[in-house]
Amino acid sequence: MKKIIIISGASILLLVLSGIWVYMLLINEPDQNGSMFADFNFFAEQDTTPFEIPEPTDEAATRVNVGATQLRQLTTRPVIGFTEVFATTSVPYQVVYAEAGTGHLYQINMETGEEKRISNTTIPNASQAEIASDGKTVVMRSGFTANNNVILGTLNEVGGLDNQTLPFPIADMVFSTTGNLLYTEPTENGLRARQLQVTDQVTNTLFEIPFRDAEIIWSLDGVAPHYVYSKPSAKLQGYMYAIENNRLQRLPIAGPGITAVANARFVNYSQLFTTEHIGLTFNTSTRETTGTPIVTIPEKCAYQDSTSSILYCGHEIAIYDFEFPDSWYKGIKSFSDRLWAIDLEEGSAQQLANPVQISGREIDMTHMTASANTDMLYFINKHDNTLWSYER
Amino acid sequence: MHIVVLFIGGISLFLGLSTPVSAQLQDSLMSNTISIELSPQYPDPGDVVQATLNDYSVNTAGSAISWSFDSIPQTEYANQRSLSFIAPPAGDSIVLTATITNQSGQMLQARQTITPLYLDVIVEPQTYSPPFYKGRALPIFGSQVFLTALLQDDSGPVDDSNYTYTWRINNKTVDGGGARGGFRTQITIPHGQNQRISVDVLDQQNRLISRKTVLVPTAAVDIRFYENHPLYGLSTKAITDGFTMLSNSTNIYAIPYNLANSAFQQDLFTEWRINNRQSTASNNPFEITLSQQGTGTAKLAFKLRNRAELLQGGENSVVVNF
Repeated sequence: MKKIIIISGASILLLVLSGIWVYMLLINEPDQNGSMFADFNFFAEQDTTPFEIPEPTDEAATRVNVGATQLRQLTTRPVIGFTEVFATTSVPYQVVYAEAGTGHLYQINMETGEEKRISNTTIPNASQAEIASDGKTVVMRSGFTANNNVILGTLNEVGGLDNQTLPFPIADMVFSTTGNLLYTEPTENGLRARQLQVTDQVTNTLFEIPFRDAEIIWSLDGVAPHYVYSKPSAKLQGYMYAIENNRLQRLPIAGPGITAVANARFVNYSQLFTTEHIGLTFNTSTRETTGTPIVTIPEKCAYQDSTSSILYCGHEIAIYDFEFPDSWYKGIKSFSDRLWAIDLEEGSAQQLANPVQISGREIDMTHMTASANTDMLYFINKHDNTLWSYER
Repeated sequence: MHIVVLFIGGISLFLGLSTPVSAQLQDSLMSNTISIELSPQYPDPGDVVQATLNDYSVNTAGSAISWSFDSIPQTEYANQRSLSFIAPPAGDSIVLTATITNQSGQMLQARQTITPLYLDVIVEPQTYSPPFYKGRALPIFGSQVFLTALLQDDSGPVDDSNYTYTWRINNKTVDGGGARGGFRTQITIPHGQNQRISVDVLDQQNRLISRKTVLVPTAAVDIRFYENHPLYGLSTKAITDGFTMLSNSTNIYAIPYNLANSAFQQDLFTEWRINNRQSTASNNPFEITLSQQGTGTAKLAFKLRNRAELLQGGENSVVVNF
C-alpha cells in the first residue's frame, strides 16, 4: 500500500513539474514574434536608400601621421573597405577608404597626411565596400541582413556618388585591376561568377559553381586562375578547386576547416589535423605539398604579387584548435597578431613587426593587402575596424 | 608510370593528410583463395594506400611473396605481407599484383586495378548564419541539408547523367534508391551526434566505381551577441563577458547560429532577461536596447525555442558592465 502511495505521489509530482516546464517554455512569453520572420528578414527592415548630406562648412582637415614609423594607424573611423591610389601627374599618392555604417568615402594623402571626405553620399548601413584602384568607383553592400542591397557608385565632380542599386543579388564581389567588377550571384543550386564592365554595364559569365557555400579567391589580374573552396568549418569536410577552362578542377587539397590564399604558383592553406590546425603549401608547378611554419587565415594574408613566393600574414603564435576558424569568423576568438613574411619556397617565416611592442595596441589583422607598387602593407584591425599600414 | 612506394609506418606527415575515399577498382582475382585488400578501399588521387595480402584460406607457410606494379617487380618488398603506395593521379590506373610461390614452386596470384577518382561530398546545412560570417553553418536536429557529389576524373567534372548515385544516411537509402544523374539530394537531420552520409557511384555498366562516406556532426543552436552601433552598424566581434557600455544606451543583437532556416517561418519563442528578469525586446525580438542607469554589472540572457520542433533551441548570456 505504501508503495502505491509513493509511486502515485511521485507520478503526480512529475506531472506537476512537467506542467510547470511546459508553461514556462511555451506560455510564459514576453512577446509575440508575429510575422517578423515570414520573409526571412532576420533583423528589422533596414533602409538602404542612399542620400546626400550637406558638405561640412567648418570641418578642419585631419592630419594623419604618414611618415613617423613603419607601423601607422591611418584612421580612427571604422573602415569597411579601402584602396591605394598611385600618384600620377594630377593625383598624389593616396589611400581612399569607406566608413562603416555611412559609406562616406575619405581620402588620405599619403605624402602630406591630409585626410578629407570626398563623398557626401550616405549609404545607410554600409557593411562592405570594394573600391576600384582609381579610387573613384565603388561598390557597397547596404544592410547586414540577407536582404541587403549592393550599390554601385562613381564619384562625381561635386563630391557625391552617382549610384545605382544593382538589380541582382550578389554573394561576393571585388574589383579587378582593370576596374571590372567580379562577383558571384546565387543560382538555384549554386553560384554563378560574373564580370561587370562598369563603364558600359556589360556583363559576362566567367564560371559556375554547383554549390552555394563557396569562397572564391579571385584572380584580379588574370595571371593566376580563380580558385574556389567550400566555406570553411572545422567540423565539415572542405575541398579546393582551381578554375580551368571555366570548370572546377580539383586540387589535392581536402580536409576539415580548410581556408586558403593562393596566387599563380602557390596555394597556401590551413586545415584541421586531428585536434590542431596546421599550415601547408601546395606548389602548383611541382604539385608537391610542404609544411608552412605558420597557420594562415586568408583575410590576414596577402602575396607580394601574383607569382611571388612571399606571403605577408598577420599571425599570433597560439594554438589553433578544433573550434578554429569558425570561432574567429564568428568574432568569438580574436588575436593579437604579429606581422610575418613567409617564404613559401623556403618554408621559412620572418617576423616583420610586433604591433604590441611598437604601438602598445593589439591588432587582429584582417583585409590584408600588399601594395603592388610600394613597400606598403595595409590592413584593418578587427578589434575596432581602424585602418593601418606597415612600410616594409 | 612512376609509382612511389612507401613502407608502412614510414608515411610522411603531409602525404598522410589526404582524406581517403574514392576510386575506381576492378577486382580481378587470379585465384579465389588469396586477395588484396586496400585501405582506403576507394582512394583519392594521391592518397597513401595500404595494400594487404589476404591468404588466410590457404597454407602459405614457407612460401615466398612478391609484389609488382604494372608487371614491374618491387623486389624491395619481397616477402612483405603489406605495403603502402601513393595512388596515381585522377583517371590513371595501376595494376597491383601479389604472387605467392610455395616451396614446391606453385604460384597463387591476386590482382587489383586502381583507378582513383575524386568524389567530393559537399554538405550544405540549411541553417542560419549572418551574412558577415564567412564560415559554414552546421546542421541541427530536424534541419535540412543539401548534399552535392562532385565526381572528377583527369579531365575534370564528369557528365553526371552517365552515372547513378545512391545516397545513404546512417546506412538507410535516401530517396528510395539510386538515381541516374542524382548527384544532388537533400536530407533531414535525424537524432544522433553524428550522421554517417555516404554516396555510391555506379557507371553505365552498373559497376561501383567510387564510394565516399563523410561524418556530419549534429550541432546545437549557438547564440552570440553583437553590438549594433547606431552610426557604424553591426559589429562583427561578438560580445563576451565583461563587455562595457561606452554610451548611455546601446543595441544588442542575439544571433542564433545554426538555427534551422525553416524555424524562422515557424512558431518561434524568444525571451530576453536582464538579471534574470524578463525584459522587453525592441520591435525586433532578436534585438534589445540597453539603457544605462547608474553603474554596475548586469547579466544579459537570451533564449529561443522553435515550438514546432522543441529540440531546436538554445540560450546564452553575457555579463555587461555599465
